[in-house]
Amino acid sequence: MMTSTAVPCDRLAELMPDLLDDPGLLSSADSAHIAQCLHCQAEMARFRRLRRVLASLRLQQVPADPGLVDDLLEGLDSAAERRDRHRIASRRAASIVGLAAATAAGVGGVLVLATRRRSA
Amino acid sequence: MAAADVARLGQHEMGTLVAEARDGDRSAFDALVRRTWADTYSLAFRLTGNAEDARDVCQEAYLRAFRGLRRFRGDARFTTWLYRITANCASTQLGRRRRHRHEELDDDLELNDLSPSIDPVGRSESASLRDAVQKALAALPPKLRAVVVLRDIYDLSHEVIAAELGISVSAAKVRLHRARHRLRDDVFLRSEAEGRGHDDVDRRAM
Repeated sequence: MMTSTAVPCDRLAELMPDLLDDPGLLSSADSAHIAQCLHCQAEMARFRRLRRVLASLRLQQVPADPGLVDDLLEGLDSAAERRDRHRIASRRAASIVGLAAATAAGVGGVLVLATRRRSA
Repeated sequence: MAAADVARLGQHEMGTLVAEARDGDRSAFDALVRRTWADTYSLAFRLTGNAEDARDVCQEAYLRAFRGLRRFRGDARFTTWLYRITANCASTQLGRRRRHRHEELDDDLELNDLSPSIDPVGRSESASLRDAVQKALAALPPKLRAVVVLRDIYDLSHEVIAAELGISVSAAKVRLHRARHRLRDDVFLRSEAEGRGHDDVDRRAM
């Protein structure tokens, strides 16, 4: 039984981390080599085991300060208040601009009428 | 009820909460925060490597999610969308930290296993192997750690990882390749070498 052949083993060792995402990277010759090579089989088993352990960490939570959730909600309250204040201020500003525009238009209209009457 | 049914039910409830929150129901958004904060914090901690930054990242992630919820189309899970935001915030935080101070990595990461019943394969892995992986992860440079955490723990695609970290897809793949190699070296080769060392000592002692 083959235990190691330097060139394919080195090349495959370099390929192993990427095989976890794309097993199609292996040629049939590579697969045949791995089927006979204990070194490559062990290497592949290590990476697969590593991936399995990493995936299992998804179900483990890092302990957090239980007060964090209240801080997060308070932060959201402040953001919502700021947003509401900003909206009110924007609406007020829009109203003032609208009023100013209407006043300017009115004054302009009066001036135009007055000018026309004078010239008539 | 089977674990898969519980997960499906949970997902359905999450969908309802997301829809209500998107319609402006603040209490629904608060409920989403209460359901997801521990998970979001775990991801933030794994990406930043310390509690202080993880808190900041969480706060920023929920603020961005709150502001951007109307843009969430619902074609991905809410949690996946939140992971993307958290990854993006952590990337920004790490960039800021790099400019201000040196890396400080916490190797003594303590863990709570909250759902062992739905993880039979993971449960069978030895606790010492998990510890070794955790320590090796914490010892990785932040750029390498980020891609391996997002890909191998949180199952995000290369494209999503690249987009949230602000790098190209090929750069994300190169970093992942390096990270997995380093983890394999740290977790297996070192312990195997140490094991051989112990055997030699035992043999000499006999």
